[in-house]
Amino acid sequence: MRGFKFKVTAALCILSLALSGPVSAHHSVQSVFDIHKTITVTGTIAKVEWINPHSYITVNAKDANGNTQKWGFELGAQAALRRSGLSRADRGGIKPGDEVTIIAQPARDGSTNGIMREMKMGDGRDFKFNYDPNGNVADGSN
Amino acid sequence: MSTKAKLMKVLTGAAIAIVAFQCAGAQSGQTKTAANMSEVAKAVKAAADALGMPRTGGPGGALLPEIDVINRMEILGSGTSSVSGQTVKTEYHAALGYNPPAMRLEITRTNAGGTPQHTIQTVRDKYAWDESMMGAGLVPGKGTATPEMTTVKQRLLQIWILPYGVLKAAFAAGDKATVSAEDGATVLNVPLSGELAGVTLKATLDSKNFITKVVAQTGGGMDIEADYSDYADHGEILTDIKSPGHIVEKQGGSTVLDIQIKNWDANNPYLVFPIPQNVKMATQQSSKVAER
Amino acid sequence: MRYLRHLGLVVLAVLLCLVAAPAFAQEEAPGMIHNVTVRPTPTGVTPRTADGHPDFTGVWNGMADNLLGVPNQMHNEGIAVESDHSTYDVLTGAKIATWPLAKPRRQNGEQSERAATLLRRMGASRPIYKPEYWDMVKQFDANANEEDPSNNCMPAGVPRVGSPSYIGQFPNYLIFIYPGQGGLIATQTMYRMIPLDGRKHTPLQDLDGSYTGEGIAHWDGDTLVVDTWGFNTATWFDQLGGYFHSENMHVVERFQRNGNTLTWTATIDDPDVLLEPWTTTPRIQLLNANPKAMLPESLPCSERDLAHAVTKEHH
Repeated sequence: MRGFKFKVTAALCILSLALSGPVSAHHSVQSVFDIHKTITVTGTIAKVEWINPHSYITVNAKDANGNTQKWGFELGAQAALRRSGLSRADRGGIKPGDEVTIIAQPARDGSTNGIMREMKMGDGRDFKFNYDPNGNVADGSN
Repeated sequence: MSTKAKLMKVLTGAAIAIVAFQCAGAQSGQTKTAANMSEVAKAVKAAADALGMPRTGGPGGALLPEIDVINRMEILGSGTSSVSGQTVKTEYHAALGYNPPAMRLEITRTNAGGTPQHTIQTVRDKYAWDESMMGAGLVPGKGTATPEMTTVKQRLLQIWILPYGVLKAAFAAGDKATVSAEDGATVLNVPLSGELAGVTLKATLDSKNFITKVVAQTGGGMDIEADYSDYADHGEILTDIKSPGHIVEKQGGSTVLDIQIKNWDANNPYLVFPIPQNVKMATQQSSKVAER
Repeated sequence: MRYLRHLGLVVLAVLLCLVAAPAFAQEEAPGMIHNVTVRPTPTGVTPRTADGHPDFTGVWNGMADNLLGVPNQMHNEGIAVESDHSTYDVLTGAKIATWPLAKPRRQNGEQSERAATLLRRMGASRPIYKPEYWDMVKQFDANANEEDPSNNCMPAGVPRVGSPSYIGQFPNYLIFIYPGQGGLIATQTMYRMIPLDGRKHTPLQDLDGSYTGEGIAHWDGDTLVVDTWGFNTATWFDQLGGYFHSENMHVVERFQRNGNTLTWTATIDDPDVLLEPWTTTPRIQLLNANPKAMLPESLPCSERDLAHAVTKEHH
């Protein structure tokens, strides 16, 4: 009975996957970012952009010398964010001025950019992004 | 029947149809999973995995079956080659594809103190020709394409003795390919078909399932052997396809080619092998696999 | 009673899935291993307009936008995965070695990208350039991160954009809408308004080159033919490969409708750079399964990563 229900769900999910629009961007994630490393950045959200092909959250963080650095964190477009569990209310609830701690895969060229893997809000909310901006499962294995 | 009951009936019917389709798919999948592959199929898959040939993908993860992604490749190398007993400095540049089968081999040989001798030898499907320059004979006034129809088989063989060619031929041969053990190593025995019917490839695998030696038994002509070593991803653009770093080719036991690879692009670069009109018209002469 | 409860569970599963499809997509149920790139057979009738021609009006994104996702991209490349042990090339008929996936494979982003790059480039069908341009095409392709003219959200142009996601067919013209995509080539939204009134082309030398050219449609039996020239050189003509063209490129697109299926091909004729005309593999789109579906807004396009690319890896 349980197997039967899952098979029905699975079968229809394949059709609906087409409707939700899988994302696959034109450049390779690994040509820009080091997917085998993570960094942690704490700061304040400066800008939130839900756009194509990748969404961005810009964060102002202080470096070791106390100077403000602008960090650009990249996420997927809306379909990928929904797959990671971010609802419309969640997206609306992330605003400039919010305190955040972000775990990300850093840019390979040393610039202050990264792919967001996890965002912990000052009020305790914790968002994990299981799909990279190109829609691949981003479990960082291997 | 109430509307609600009709709706339930339609939805159930649709659901059952979809499930039946999925079940049918699942059934056929189960007949060929790793658990019940033949020994030769397992060896072929292991060797293919070592090279990075079978790949999968799909929305959000891996949903497609594993598919052999190898088609076009471009190889640059340098070393030596031997012609008529003389070993000379050689630059090696090969462009090839498996679908359709084709190869353009550009060799530059320089004897000590001599002028470089440059040849371009091309084969495509069942046509072979020499080019005076790249793509000769396709645009009027731009180079000459000379039909070399007696060389079709020997040139085609160069495509199939590469590790990828052996495995593609093994998959195509199905039950006719066999696996044996020799001196503790796994050996694949692969009969070729089509233009190369009658030729058998014997490929030796090392402990990591890389193909280290391929012997083409040409049935009457000389055996052709290729030794492969130093496998790595030698592409300018990384693809996780492994290619040999060193190739040694022997004919009848004598070394004819020994090259170190500088570059091996396996990302399906733009390589085309159109057949010049005068070559298409050339009379098909009988073609031997191994000459001289 | 038991039958009705069983039925109820099935219906519940159907409804839950339709509502929460993206969340369920993360589950690894056994039925999800199998995926194919051959398109389903057409269903339904082909509506006709009062003058007897097939009516192409509709939202044609039933298989997502045609450039999105590895299965669509392989389909566009002419690679037909028929089942989990059978694949062939549509152009040559060549059989391609296929191994069933015993269980879903978790690949990290790098493995997934490198596999996808190879899967969408393995087909046999290639335009045949003149030999003097062979190296140029190869270099444009290898250096696409820098060289692709559609980088930075420029228009994909025709025919690279493929078949439209919306067609509006009116007595004397057609509207084609192509939503901007964060897809294989991150592009901005494009539209075309194409006359169907029997007019002739403007002489080529009198046209300023544009991204979509001057397209004019006519009927060839039940096939809708769109004939376009007057292009600028700021586009490549197919999804991958460095396929540059001249200002004299001439494109003929053919659309056929069979029930819920739209088949599109484009023939590119450019004697300045090609040895012979090249026709894309037939690309098939499905009507959106919901007859009341509207075309959604596409997100604005903004490319910020290319300046930070340190390798040549790309799609």
